[in-house]
Amino acid sequence: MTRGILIALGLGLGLSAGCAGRKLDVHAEPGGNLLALTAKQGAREDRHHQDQPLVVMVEDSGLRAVDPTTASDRWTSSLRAAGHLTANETAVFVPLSGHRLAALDRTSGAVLWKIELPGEALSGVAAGDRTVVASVLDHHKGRSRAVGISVLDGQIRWMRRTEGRLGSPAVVGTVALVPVGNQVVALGTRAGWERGRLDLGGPAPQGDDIIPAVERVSRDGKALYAGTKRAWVDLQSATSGHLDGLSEIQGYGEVFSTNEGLDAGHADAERLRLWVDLSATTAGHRDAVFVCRRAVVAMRVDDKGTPRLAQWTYLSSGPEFVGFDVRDDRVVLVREDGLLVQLSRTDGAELDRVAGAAPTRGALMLDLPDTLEGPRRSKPAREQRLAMMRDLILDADPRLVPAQRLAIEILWRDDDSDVRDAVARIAHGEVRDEPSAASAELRAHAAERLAEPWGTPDADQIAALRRELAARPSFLSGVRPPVAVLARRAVAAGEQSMVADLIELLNHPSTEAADLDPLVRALGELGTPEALDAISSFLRRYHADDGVLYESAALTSAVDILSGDEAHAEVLHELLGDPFTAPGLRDYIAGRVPQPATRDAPDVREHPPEIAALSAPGL
Amino acid sequence: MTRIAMQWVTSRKFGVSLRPYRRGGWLLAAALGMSLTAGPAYAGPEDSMLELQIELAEMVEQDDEQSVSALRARVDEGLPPAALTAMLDACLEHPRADLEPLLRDLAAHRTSAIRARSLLAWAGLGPAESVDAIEAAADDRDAGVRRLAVVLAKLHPSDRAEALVAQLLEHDPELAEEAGGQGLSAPDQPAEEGDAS
Repeated sequence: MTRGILIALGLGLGLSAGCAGRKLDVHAEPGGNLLALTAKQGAREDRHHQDQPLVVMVEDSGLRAVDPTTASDRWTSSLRAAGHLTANETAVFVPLSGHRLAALDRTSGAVLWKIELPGEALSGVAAGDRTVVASVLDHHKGRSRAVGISVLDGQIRWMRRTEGRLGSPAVVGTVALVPVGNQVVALGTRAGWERGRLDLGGPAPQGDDIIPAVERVSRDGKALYAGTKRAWVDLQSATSGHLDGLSEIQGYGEVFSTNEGLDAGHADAERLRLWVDLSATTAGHRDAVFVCRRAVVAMRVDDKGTPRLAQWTYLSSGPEFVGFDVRDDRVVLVREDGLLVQLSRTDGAELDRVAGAAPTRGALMLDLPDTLEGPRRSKPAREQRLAMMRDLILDADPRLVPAQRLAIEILWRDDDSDVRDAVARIAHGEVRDEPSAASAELRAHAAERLAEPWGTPDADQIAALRRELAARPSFLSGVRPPVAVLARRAVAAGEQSMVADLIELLNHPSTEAADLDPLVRALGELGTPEALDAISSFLRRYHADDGVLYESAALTSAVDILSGDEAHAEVLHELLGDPFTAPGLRDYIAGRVPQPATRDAPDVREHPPEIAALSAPGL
Repeated sequence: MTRIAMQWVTSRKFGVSLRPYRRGGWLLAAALGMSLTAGPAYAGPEDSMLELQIELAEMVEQDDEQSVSALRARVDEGLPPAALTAMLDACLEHPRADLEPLLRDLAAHRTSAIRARSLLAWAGLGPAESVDAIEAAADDRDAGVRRLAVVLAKLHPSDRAEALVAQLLEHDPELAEEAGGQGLSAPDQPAEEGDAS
């Protein structure tokens, strides 16, 4: 009995010391190997991970969990979420009004526990197997706390207070990564001890109200990103990226949602969402998907974030999208009427839809498979893409203005002057001439575009680029042309006459390995028969050479490009049958060899785009 | 398939050709040793690789027009480095002027070991070809291949070759230091007849 009391007393003292006494420095000497720590924890977590696809709908009347595979309801709950949900393998964690947090069993929806959080506002929650970590903001005392809560019973295990604000954390295994100041701190989830600290650069924070340099740490598969608005750092490769080009264009959403210290839940502003592929790229462009209320625009942005190409657009009949996730092959969306719809990332066609049951404000998507089985799809032809943008711009719905502004940006950067002329017609009121604030805004936006040079270079710049492309790497002459940059500029110029130089550079023995992939991709973008033949020859020549396969991504990029081109796809079948093909490459080809096309498959797009050739390429 | 060619391909299976040691002496071997060891080991079926190597070596020995087009077709189809190595060793053993375009092409291969072997075989075709090969080797981004330029210039001496090497050593201080420290002096006499033509 006495022993029990002593143990309880000891535990109580320990917990109270852990809760109240330990301060988390806003800035301290970096230390510990945060990257190795997270890599190890991530690997351990992945070993035990089991995919259990689930979509939790945040409805006005409560929560509803849907199995996206079988389209059946798993469970419902009357709890009303007041913030963004999060989950681990066993439970879903729901912020409730009054700064409370509830845990629901992920399988049955039963309430496991409810607790009150020690703060006025909830700025971010992340869940590991055993601990939920929350950044809690206390407005009265003007400080933040990182709180560790037991998944099992909701007991607060530890707290770390800090003078500044904390960003939204991420949990990897038993490590919580918490943004503070200009650093990311790794806290052990068992007791909140600091296990590592990574400096993200920039000046050390000063003052009373220290806002974190990064808004949140985010996990994307095995990657870990710390970012804010339009800039991020890949914590594992220590590479950084930014999309400042997007900052010039308002209303396109942000790469990382801003952290105002308050989780506003699934608010109205969230219906403008931007997803960008943050992974390292050597080709100078990234895929991005912009959700604008009832429109979806899949596009390609350059390495500065400037929109360059619309891949497809999709328009919902009326209700807006409130939930959004992007997988390898598709975009998963939840509409405010509860409809769950999945669109192909290749062409925007509907792959699947599950009817909704009640008005919905948001959704949490868990463990959705990276890919769905189905026939391989083809990218829309240029005429089809233009028709899609025309349909978007001509829609008089004022909710679509941000997406329409984006479409105008992209049209203005087109190489075809007839297409750019469409922007002039909008600016002059020849289209969208209805007397509304939305059309006036579009006209003004188009007029602003007319006042600036269009995206591709002028004749002098093209001539200069051609001279630069004519140079070949030479040790004796000390010539090392910036091949990757030139390749990207050649694509931007859209000059097919530059294909020959790009091919020569691809086949030049002194071209650096890092430049091969940009060259292959540039040739693929230019897409002339000569360019594709050169890619095919390059792939053939080195398909049995492990050294070339592993020195760059050029061969796999070549496979990607050729697999989308019927005239050259046969090469892939040949290489697949060659016993000398490098094993790694053979596996890659096997995953991308086109399946026999099912030409009769109907397009279930809600609004099938008008494919007819544009008689007048302008609107 | 000759017995000697068979010996080459057998020795190639173990990743090291004995050929340079027999032909050019320790110096050439040293240069090649620095630049040719990059050939990735082939992980496929040993028997198929051996058959391919033998087939390519026999094509080189055939010495007719059909063999030229057949070799060109095989190279364009893409060959593993081990097979290319066997073919280039055969080209070194049986210099054929009609294979010059193919050797010139392979001298632009991405794998430095293949480039070096191609340059070696190319340089053996004649005085004009040797100058072209030395020029290509001297301008290579790979230090091992540039080292081969110095060796080739010793094996196939000419005014132009000497000028090229001087230019190379001017631009490559490490190589100049190595050459100055007698690391790259040429053999007095090639080991076999005809090597220094």
